[in-house]
Amino acid sequence: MKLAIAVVLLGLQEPPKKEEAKAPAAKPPVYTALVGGDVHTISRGVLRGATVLLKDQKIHRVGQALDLPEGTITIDVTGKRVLPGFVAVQAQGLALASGAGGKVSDSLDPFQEQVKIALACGITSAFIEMGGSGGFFGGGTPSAGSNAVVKMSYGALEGMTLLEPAAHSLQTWVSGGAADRHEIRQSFVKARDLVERERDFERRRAENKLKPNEQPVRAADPFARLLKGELIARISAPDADAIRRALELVNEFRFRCVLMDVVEGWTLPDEIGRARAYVVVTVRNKQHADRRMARPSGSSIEQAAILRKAGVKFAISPITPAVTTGGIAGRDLTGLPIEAAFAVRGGLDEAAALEAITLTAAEICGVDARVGSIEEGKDADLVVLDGDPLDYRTFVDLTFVNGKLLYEKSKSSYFNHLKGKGR
Amino acid sequence: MTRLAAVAILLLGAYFQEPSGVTVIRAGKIFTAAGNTIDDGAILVENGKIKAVGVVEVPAGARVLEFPEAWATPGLIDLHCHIGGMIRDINDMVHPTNPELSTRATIDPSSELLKDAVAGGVTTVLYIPGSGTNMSGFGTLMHTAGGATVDELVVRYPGALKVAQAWNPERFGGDLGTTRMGMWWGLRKVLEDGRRYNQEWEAFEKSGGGKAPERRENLELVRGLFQRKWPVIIHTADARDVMGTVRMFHDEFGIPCIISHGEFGGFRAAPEIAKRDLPANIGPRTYDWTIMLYDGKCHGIAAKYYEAGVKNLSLNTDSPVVPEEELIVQASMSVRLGLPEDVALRGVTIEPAKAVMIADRLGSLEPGKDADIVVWSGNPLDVRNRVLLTIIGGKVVYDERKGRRVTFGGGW
Repeated sequence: MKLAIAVVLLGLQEPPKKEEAKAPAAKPPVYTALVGGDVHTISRGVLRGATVLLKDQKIHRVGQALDLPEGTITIDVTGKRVLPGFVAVQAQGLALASGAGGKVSDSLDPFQEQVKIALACGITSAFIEMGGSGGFFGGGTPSAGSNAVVKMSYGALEGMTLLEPAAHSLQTWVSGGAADRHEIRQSFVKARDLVERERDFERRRAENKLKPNEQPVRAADPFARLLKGELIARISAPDADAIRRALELVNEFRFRCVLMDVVEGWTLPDEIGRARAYVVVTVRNKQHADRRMARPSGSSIEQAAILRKAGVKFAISPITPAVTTGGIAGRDLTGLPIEAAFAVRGGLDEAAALEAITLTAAEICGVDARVGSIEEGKDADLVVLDGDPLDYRTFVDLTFVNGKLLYEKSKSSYFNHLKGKGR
Repeated sequence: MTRLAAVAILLLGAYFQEPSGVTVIRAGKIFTAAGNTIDDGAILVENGKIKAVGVVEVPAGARVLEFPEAWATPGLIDLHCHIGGMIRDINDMVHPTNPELSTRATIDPSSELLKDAVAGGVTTVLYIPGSGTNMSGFGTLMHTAGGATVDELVVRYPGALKVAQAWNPERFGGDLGTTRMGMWWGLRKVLEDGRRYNQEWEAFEKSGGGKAPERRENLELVRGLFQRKWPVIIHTADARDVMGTVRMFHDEFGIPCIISHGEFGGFRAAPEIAKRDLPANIGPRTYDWTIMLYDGKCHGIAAKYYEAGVKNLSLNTDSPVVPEEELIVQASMSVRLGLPEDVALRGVTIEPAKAVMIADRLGSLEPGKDADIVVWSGNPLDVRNRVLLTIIGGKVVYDERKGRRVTFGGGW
């Protein structure tokens, strides 16, 4: 059990196991193959006319000339694109039952309509938090409420939570007062001491050098977990001052940190890169330059491209980080690839733009061992698109979560009357 | 080095010169909005006007701008814009009807939001008051750049009267206009006054003598509606209210009118709009899905009006609801949701020009029209492409090469 927890915490992936003869009652595996599509693996480029073979809930094999096991269900996706499901690094209200509170995993509604719409738009995993603000005109501030990364496993509560908690908000470091900052620093200093004592305990235990009846040391509070790399911090840091202030803390305590709502990151790419902080970019989150400043300021459509050049890892989040149906198109999670396409307008290469809504987004959410790319052993969370992923006319044809086909455009009322591209 | 810099400055000076002389713009594709798209063509511009489009002989001494991979389109036109001044200036909410007000007083030629507009290829906007009251005043048809003063920017004053008859102007203070009954009464009253005022003046002008009617400032511009000099643009939504708009402004008063927004299932009245050949101006919402319609479908609104036979179909941003520079994205989204590409491009160029009755000057690339031209890095509908050059009246007002607008946009 402890080992299992450690595996999850360290984000290691379980190696795909061979069928074991020990379990005779087990159902035979179900194989499904998506055949003939252009497979955007994200981690290993694009495989033209390839096959993705699913075995139950996992991706079993990926390649151009695969031998399919007998009885494989094949789906012809010739001429289509196969991608890992998109990952939303922020999704307000998604999958949460009304009146939600407490733990996210206790408040999920797998039958929520928004979950189904998210699937129809290619999103298979999302970071959810209680509270949280933001909306129509952009951005979202990390809340102090509980959070989790959740799968859009419509209809199935089991396995819906991928990771909880998925992040720890250190928002008051930037937006709070001196007392807040003092408290955060003290918490880190204490946690650092605790982590050292825990390590010392574990080392002595491994060497059989524990004192009689010595009580174990557990460094399990969020700050200790941040220091151990088990948890990621989130700080909303739109402008250069907030970014610098956040990086100061990161550089002092060396923890993994995501800078959210970043607008002026393009003015400090190297500083962010050196601190190895992650960034969440909303490409169209606009801010005019402040002409009173004797430095570059405001937003830049080139931010993503500039960060990429500096080696900064970033995810892309839309103007409205929610699944909405209010009528404004291309600005919320239902059009996540469209926000990514705007980064291409700003000079980012297309592969990097797709990475920012799949693999890097998964990494920022702490779930990249499970989702975010098409690799053998990863969860079978896939989308089949009817065209170029970054083309504004492209629609999702099929969405799989955990190997289960949960959305078919042709069988859904949402978009089936729209011919789609090509057309 | 210094000499090189001096040369560069001279060249730039020539480049941003006033619209005199002759310029030829060559592009890989020219969407003229006049019924054809030209491959590898050119646009000849002289004294701020378009002289020729297509195969063009380059006159001696002409400045030639080469964009072999690019697209050229007419400058984009947005009929539902609130960013010509400061956002807080758009609703003066003293009376339910305010025909004496106009946005001209609030134009700010140095507005950052207007600078964003040209970075998105939008060259002309109908800058209208908000929808806080039923009749919120007159909008101004203006350029987004190319002038330092209000007078230099104004294309036509007034541009159109702004009316909002539902979904915002409901005055929940308890006075008249809380319901459609009060709102319709208030609007009719002004229109009836305006019609009578126009009739009195027409009679006087025809008679060539007698006592002139009393001049009423608040009805002077309303009179222009009855003279068909400018239209009324009506913020409306939902089939009942779209239909109410059609009945009142077109059937009853016979004034040129533009159905704006038309959302929340308003497309169910589209066949009636088509029957009367009225303009529809769709946005900022480009789809109807869960509001007032419950069939589980995501309907592209513009496509619905188009399929119903509406010919004069344009798209808007309702900026700042959608930023002004994303007018073209509204077209892209409409295409995604079923509108043909050429109809979408016409919907941000020639169709809005026709609706606001300025198509003799703007909206297409045709000889004799103003040289409002946008050069794009590729098909403008693909959001990965961007504006390379925006020209208003023959003058370059935005040039990516001169310095990309890094602050692409802004808040409130």
